[in-house]
Amino acid sequence: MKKKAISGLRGERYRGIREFLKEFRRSRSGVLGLAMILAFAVISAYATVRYPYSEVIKWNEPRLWKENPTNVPPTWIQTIVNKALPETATYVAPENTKANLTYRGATSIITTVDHLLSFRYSYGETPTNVIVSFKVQYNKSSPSVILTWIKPDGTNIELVSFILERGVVGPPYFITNDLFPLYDDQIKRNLAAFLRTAFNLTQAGELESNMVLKVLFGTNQSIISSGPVEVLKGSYRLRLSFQSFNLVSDFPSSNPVDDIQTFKMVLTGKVYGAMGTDDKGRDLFIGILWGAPIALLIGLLTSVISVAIGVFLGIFSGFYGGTVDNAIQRVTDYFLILPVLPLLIFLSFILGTTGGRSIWVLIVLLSVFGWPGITKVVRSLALQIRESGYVEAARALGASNFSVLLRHLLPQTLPYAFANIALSVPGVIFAEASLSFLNLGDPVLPTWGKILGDAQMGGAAVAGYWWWVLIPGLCIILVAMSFALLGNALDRILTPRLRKR
Amino acid sequence: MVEPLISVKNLRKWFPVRRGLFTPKMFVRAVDDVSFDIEKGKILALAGESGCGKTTTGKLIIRLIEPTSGGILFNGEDITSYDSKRLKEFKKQAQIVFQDPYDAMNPRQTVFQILQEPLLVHDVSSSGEEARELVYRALEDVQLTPPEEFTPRFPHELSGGQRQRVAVARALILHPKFIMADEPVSMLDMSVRAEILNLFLDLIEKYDLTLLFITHDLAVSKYIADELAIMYLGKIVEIASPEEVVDTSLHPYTLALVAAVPVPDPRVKLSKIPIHGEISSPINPPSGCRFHPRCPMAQFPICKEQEPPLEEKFPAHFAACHFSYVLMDKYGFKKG
Amino acid sequence: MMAKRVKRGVKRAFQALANQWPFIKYIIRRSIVLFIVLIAVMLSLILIAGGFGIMDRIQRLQIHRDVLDMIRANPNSGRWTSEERQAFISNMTALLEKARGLDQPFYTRTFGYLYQVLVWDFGQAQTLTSSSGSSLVRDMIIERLPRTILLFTTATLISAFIGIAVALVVARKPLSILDRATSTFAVVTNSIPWWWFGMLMIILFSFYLKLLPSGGYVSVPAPEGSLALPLDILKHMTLPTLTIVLVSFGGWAYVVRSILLDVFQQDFILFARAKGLKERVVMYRHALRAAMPPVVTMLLFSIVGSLGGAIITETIFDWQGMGMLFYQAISLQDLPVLVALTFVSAFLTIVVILLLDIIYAFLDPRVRTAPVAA
Repeated sequence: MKKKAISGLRGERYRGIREFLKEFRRSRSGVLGLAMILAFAVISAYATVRYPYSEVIKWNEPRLWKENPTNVPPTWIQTIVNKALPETATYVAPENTKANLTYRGATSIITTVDHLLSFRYSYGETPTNVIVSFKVQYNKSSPSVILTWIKPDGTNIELVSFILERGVVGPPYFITNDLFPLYDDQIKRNLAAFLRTAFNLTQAGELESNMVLKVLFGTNQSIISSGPVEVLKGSYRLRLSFQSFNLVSDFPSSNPVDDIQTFKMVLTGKVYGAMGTDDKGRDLFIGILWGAPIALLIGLLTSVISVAIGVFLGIFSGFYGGTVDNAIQRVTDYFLILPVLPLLIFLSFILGTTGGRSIWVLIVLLSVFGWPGITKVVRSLALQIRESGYVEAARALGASNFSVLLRHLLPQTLPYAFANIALSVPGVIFAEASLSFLNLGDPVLPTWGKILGDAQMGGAAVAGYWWWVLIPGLCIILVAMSFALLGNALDRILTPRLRKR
Repeated sequence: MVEPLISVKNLRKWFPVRRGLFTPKMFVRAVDDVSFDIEKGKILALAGESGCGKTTTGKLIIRLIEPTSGGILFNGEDITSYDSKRLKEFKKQAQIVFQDPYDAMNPRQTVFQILQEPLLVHDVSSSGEEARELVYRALEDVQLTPPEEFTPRFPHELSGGQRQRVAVARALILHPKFIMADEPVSMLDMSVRAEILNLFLDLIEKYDLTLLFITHDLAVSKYIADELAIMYLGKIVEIASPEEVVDTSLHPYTLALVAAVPVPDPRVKLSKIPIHGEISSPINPPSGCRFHPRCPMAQFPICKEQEPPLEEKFPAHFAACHFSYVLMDKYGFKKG
Repeated sequence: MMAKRVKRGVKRAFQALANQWPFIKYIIRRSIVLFIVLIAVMLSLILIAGGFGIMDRIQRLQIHRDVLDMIRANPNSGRWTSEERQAFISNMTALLEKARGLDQPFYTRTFGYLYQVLVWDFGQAQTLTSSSGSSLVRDMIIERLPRTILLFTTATLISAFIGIAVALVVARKPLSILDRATSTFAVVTNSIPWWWFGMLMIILFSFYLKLLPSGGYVSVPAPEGSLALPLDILKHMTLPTLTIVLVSFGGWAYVVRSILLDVFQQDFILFARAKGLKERVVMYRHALRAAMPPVVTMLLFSIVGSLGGAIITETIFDWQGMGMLFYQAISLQDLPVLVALTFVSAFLTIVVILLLDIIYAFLDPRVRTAPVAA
């Protein structure tokens, strides 16, 4: 008999737990799985802190993403392809480049404001989009604005000149305007006119969108030729000229405060962020990051609920037997014979049309299909224990049914339950991913399945947007694998093995 | 006359058997009208072949199984009428040691936890310190010392003999008055058997215990018991002191049983007393004397018609056979 | 002479039949169970759907269509005023509703629905149509089901085949490097969703390498000719099949390996070896045959299980099978099709599972005579 140094008291009471921990430490895959899960937990905590829930539900509001490029890969691919790709940048015109002029005439006051925004552009490729935004304040009449684009070689292009609409609330009126040169008809016409006058090209009335960037950023040579655009690198300037009219009678002593409040421009690049963007310009990093806590929440909560139900029913069924057992068996068999995903879709669809479709409904639905598997096993375990010698011994002691349940059945079932919780998480995550892919999951939260579903609808696979597909999928796989590793290790250690007497 | 600690009267246990939906209900007559007494401080051995009902009888006495009919008196009180609360109290007084020590213990519990369970069930000893003291005392009683070395072990880390000692310790820890031992040494090696039997004897003396010892081994009963009862097909066929039962059996079945025990002397030829046929089914026992289809002596109609009662054929020697006197004649006894 | 031969032949046939009688009894018993289970499950689904008013809603949609058809068929309807038209619609609708019993509480119509479900009479779809133009849901399903079966059966069979082959190699030297690599590979690929991998495969093979078509059942326009058409289908089948096989064969290899190792422990293998049979013969004739029952069971289970995974996988590859129909029904919110597909899925699943019992009994005779727990 090996005389082991089993430290006294703790060895008596908690030896089971200590033996388990010792064995678990030895299992490399189990420790790996646990480490991965902890890593995901940390990431999830970070996600909820860095981007609180109120931020995340904006995932579905398109106007918040309008200043992002669409369908672009992450910034780090620049190191892989060894090329500097234009990144998204926002340029704000500083106060010191603004020139205000007020002219008081006999009856009218003319206010002129000139604001200059300058930036350096030295990428080898054009940006994907140009967005010019400005906010003005004025009192009486609708002012006029002129936007001029000045290239490094001195070329002046008047992009657009127009009169602002009268505001609703005021005076004073505050108007914000966003101009998209790529889509704005007026700007495109003006650019076409520019081409005709500057280069003597026979150009149709309106410039095509794909030519706009070439004209704005290209060298004169590449504008004329039909080949790819060669970027004119250097200092660019954008001038916003604003003019408004007021009556002297309204401002006898002072001057109106008509002015340009903000003037900025966003150039969206060909790369964005840590994980790229989708077809709505959403920063995939945020969505994917938030997928982690959601996946963990759904996975663990559903598993715990399913296993709890399954264990409870299994114990009831196996321990008490009789008609209760038969009834529970029939119900379990019924669930096991149904095809899971089609029914999940069916029920999800029905519930969606009648009531809400939130994450909690999803959890309940997934739990309903999760418990039958473990019930069968727990039941056979309960049966086996019920017939065992030590239960008879306990009864001989005078222990009540409840006491036997608590002292013998539960402690033997719990380890198995824990292993099973870990092992059912991957299945839950896949099921949730499938449902979200089909747009049957929570409509607000960005889960990995939903992102992939959006990718499918956005034609990502066919168009080669690999970052939209690869990263969310890898996340799913890693989380599933980590729980599978942990669960397998737990199962190996905790499941009763045949001991050699 | 001292009131016996345990008095069993006309105990019956019939198990219902369902053959199919349409056959009439049948019963396995495991224990059929059994009566005996056990005096305080004595050891009664209950012996017989497998399936004769001895284990069932033992379990009935401690009310692990419910009797179909009959009375069981413990200390003069009829325990069959106990409600659950008094029954639990009773179980404190009457404990059991099982046949298979490995099966009777939860393989996932340490020895400490196994021994602690009786204390927890009956709410004995509130503090952990007290409980540990009791556990250690119990281990010392069964000579597993030092106790601290044994408490952290799992059952599979003990030898067969040690396991059985732990089982005995578990039975003892509540200081019962009565222990039912169900073939406690059958699964142990020969060398270990003597140790355990001696342990029982010591403990009985130390704690003034009463013991019902179930076994199929006549040699063991001879060693340990004060009285020996032989059972066949749910009925007791003979009770007397072990020596008398073995050496001067007054029932043909006992005779055959004794003769079947091999003697380790190659010169002695086994005089086999032929019992023909298979053991009858306890569902449909033969009419009259249950042993008559196999009994070499039963050539008379009375054996088939009338069931022989268990009577005192000789002082303190009971047998259930119409023809015990034939055997008595053989031994040269006079009918007392 | 001939008569005698015929008589002998008939006698032998009868005898063969009689020998198989326990098996036939088993088949009959299981078929009855199958039927009962099928009805029970379909009924429960109808009740659930009915509880939410889905079945009735489909009926009303159908009635609406029928009424509009009636209007179209009526030559005078062009001259009706809008009030007349409205009146006709409401009157006719009320009439038809009463005729179909929609004014009664739900449970009166349950058995009617049950019958419809069992004969696959699912009415007309809301918006979807089959490629032949029919709007009957049944036609759509019948048209698409074979395509799904074609793709997934082929893919599963190939996966199983390769998996078994690998398992045979690996099981001979357990715990070798190859064996452990296989196990790791299996664990990893088990965590990969088919459809996601499919998307990646499309990006790789279709977008970057431009080797294979990114999807579809056939090219558009479909090629003519008895050889060109199947070849075209095959070409389109390559990428989805490759995807499924790559992700699945690891799992198969792992499971078959475990089964084989179990079989190897058994005594009859030892005996075969002791007889001096060549290792290859031992493997193939004895071990593999013993491993067949669970393997075949798994095979059928996989084919059944792939029904669920088919939905997204087919969508990714634009493979116009039943799965994709499901996806389209969800996107377009076509209620009749959705409900019908759910029933059909359950129907097929139950039938195949209970078919499995029979096949298993065929392979493992011990099952036939054991008492059957209903």
